Amino acid sequence: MNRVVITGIGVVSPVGCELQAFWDALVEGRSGIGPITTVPTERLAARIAAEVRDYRPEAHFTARATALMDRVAQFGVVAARSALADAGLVLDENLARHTAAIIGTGVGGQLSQDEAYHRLYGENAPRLHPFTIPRLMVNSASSHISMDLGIRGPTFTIASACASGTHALGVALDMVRAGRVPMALAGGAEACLAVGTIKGWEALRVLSNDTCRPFSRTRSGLVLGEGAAILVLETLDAARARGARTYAELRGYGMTADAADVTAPDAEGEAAAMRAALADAGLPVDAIDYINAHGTGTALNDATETAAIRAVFGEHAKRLAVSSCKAVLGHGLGAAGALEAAATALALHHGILPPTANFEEPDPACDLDVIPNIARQQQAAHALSNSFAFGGLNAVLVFSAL
Amino acid sequence: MTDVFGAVTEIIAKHCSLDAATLTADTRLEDIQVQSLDLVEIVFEIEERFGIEVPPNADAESRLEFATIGAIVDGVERILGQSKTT
Repeated sequence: MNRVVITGIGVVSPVGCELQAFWDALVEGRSGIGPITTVPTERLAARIAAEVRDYRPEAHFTARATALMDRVAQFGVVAARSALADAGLVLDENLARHTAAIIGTGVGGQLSQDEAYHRLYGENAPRLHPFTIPRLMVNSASSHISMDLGIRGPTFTIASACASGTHALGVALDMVRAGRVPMALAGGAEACLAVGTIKGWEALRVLSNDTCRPFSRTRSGLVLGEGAAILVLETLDAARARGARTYAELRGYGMTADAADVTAPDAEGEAAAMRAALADAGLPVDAIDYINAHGTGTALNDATETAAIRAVFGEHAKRLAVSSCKAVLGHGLGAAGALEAAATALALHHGILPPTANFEEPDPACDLDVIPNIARQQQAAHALSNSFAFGGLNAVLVFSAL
Repeated sequence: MTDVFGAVTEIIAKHCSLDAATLTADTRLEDIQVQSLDLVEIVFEIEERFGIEVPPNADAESRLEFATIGAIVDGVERILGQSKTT
């Protein structure tokens, strides 16, 4: 079995599209949440989101290319290009033919779908634009990454709502570890801030009207986000052979399903995913120093995740540092797990644990060391990144410092 | 009388980044690199411009012949003629 390392990271995020800007905001706890500007808000109750601001398609694509690409596909391609450049890689013919592109997307081209259906039902348009389907299909980010970079190996999308990016990284890890592919670009992309999608989330009554405060007693719900993160996964041997910079080892993963409620989280299913991840990585519970939590900022998620962590780690839970990046990044659904995997890899690389921003006061139901507001200088040896999706789908990644 | 030829060549010229004056009724679409996805987009724009419905390709009996610009113009004029008489 190959050891698998992360050699490149590309992000499109609410706090910047440069990796350094992304990391600086996470460390400083500077939130990307603000008023919604990309769609009309008069019919929305929740008028805040973590938008990718100042994104200009023309800076990255021709008009002809964007005609065929929803915002989600554009985010995916921009992040994939950045990841490859960050890895210092040029795909030669052999690598291009065998490299995998496995991307998590929760909902696909929601803006294109929203616009098309508005034309159809709202304006009684007799026909839709012929690019409607290519733009809204949930695999569009994966497909455009393949076409843009010439990647011709296994390429597909994983859709598991809020765990999509994490599942994608786990599957990609498996393929590189087993030697099925020499390299994978894996992660997630999402651009879900369409009026119809936001209204749907409103109806679930889980959206905050002010901001996202994970693990805080005063938390008021989640805030939707958008963006993309793509990681380059290579074998440790290949990375060393070419003298590549490595951020961290991607050491294992665990995946479980609750087989219970469609929206309510389940501590047992979450705990089982964390245990499976530790077993896959071959690590005991006391080897873990840091958990990048799912931490959505809803009353139920954060308390349930705390209970799951306590169930898995027992006494060691007291010594764990746990933080959520969603106060800074919002909840980017299918992109969330990938953005947080990027954050976890950077935490191990820099020897700094990013804080839980917007923290106000402790909640007895979330009695963990959540690194409130201030980043911590600490070189973690091993870390987890948790993602727990609607539909009861759980995925956990294990990272190790190199 | 609607200038169908003028409108069709304008749409195709814009789509293919060509000068409309270089297009004639005999211009073959494959010679100006119109691919299948380009063609559905051109048909969409023609439908929008004339407010007509071009029958879907599956309907072989009534499908338009899209090999040349002239054939498209004839087809559009035929549909416009039908809608006038009905």
